[in-house]
Amino acid sequence: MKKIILTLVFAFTIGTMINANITIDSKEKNLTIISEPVDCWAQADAAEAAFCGSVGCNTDYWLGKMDSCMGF
Amino acid sequence: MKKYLLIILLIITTNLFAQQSGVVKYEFSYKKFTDTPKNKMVADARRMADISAEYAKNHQYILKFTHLESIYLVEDAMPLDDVNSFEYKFSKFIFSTGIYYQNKETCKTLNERSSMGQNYLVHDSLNSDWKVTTESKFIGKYKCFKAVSLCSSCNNNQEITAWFTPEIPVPFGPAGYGGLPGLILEASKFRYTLSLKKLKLSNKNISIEKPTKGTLITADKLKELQWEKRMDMKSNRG
Repeated sequence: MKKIILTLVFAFTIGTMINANITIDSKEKNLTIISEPVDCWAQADAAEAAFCGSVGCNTDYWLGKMDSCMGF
Repeated sequence: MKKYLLIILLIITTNLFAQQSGVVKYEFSYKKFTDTPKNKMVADARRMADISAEYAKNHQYILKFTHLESIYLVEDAMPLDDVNSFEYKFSKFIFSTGIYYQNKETCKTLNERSSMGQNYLVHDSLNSDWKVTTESKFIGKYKCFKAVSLCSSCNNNQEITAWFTPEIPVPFGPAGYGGLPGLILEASKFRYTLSLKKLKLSNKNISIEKPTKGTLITADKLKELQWEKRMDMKSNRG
């Protein structure tokens, strides 16, 4: 009986750890691959529209904001 | 007899102006956004554009011209705070980018500018696509007429409004705008305006240096390259 309980606790602990790792991994993936570029893209659009009137009005502003947002 | 006198008078007047040169200083002004956007990113961007426009008010906007050619440049003022900020960097380009040279004889313009980390020498034609109206107003002592054109440096259908005076018959103006039958004393686009601050005419000849730095490229080709770079960044975003 004690052996069964220990096995169950062990299995539960391992499962929790695996789940926790998956969660952290996917959060990291979200942060590094999706979140930042989407924000920069939207920020560049917003900056261009604020500086010259609409998205597409002057690519200089767009590229400049994109570069500064990405840290170049 | 009267006809001959008129012709002689016209020749004398043209010759007199042919010796003339001038320096125009413009001042920059802008209209603030009146509405408050709910989207935080849009609100932030507008705040940034307003800060940039405030910086732009301190720069010097100078056009030098002879009867044959002109050069326009923006001399930047040192800001009180961060010179490396996006707002300050773009305050110099808020109405135009770089140095503009215009030539009446060739009807060509050259724009020395940087883009995408490179220097370019953008060649184009003096704009002849103006719609001149009968609307007029005085700027200083000069009677000016309103002309409207599509903004050549913009990718969308934005309009540029220019007020020019036939009393100074040179086809030049600030920020690469020209091709009108008189000097442009005021130009507006989007929410920005360059208006006459000081005009000095002289009989002395001044030297106009043609810009030479950068890869020679047409305005259309540069727009194409910029757009390609933009699309590249879009496709590489993951």
